[in-house]
Amino acid sequence: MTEEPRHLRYGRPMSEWIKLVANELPIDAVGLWQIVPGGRRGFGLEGDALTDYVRRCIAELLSRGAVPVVGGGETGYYWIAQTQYGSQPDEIVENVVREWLANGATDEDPGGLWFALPRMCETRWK
Amino acid sequence: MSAARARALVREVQRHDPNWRPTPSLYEGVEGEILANESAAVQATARLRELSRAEPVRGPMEEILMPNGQHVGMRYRNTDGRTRTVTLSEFNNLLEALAPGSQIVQSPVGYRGFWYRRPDGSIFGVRRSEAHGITIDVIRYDHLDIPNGYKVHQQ
Repeated sequence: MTEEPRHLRYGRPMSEWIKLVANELPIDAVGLWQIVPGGRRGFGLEGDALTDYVRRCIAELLSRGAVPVVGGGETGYYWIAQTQYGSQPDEIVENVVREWLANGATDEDPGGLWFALPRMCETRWK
Repeated sequence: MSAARARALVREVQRHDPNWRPTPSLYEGVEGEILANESAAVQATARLRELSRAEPVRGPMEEILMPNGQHVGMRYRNTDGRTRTVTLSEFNNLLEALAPGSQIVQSPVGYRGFWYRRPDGSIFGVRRSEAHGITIDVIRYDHLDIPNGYKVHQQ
């Protein structure tokens, strides 16, 4: 039996780490720019292993009720839901991962996709 | 952020010239406050030049966000340890430590705040966040303990 990968710095098993990543949802959105470097640097992943990690993180976030969003910028909203990725979790995961791979599987930055609880999309800051 | 930089600069001048004070500015509203902070920062920078002192730049991010090898503040509940919460006063101290020498750089359209590049090339963001007022994001810093995506929220 193959042992589950552990975080290179904190020693946590990957499945546990993925849950910890999603635990941030009640206070802030979680961005692809956090997820991807987390897999790359935190677990030393690349290629299919990194893609699988990204897929699992997104699935966990969606299972907690999160939706894909981008920052609201000057619109007055904190977050704007991105419904073009679909409505079912599997569909959203595949579409997000396909787009990320098509864009070169980069580390992303905070101008890209995040995942937030729907209530966060209803809140205005101005 | 402008206030943090101004405070750090004024404090540095007063380390060498304890009686020095920037000329106060009258201001109104947020924009006016930013301008007043900029004015204080410019005056302090000029005074530092007169004193032949450079703007103090703190060390790398891990020295600021992990003083004595310990992450600042507290980990939020069961998050992965890269999301910290600190008190308002600790938050202001962090901004004062990060701000000197930093230059504002272009941030993406959706980002509700500003990005700053430190003299060592690392980039951090300061953004308005829903639950915590203001959040510091580590945008670019390739360090195992302070990776991209490291966040510090106000309590």
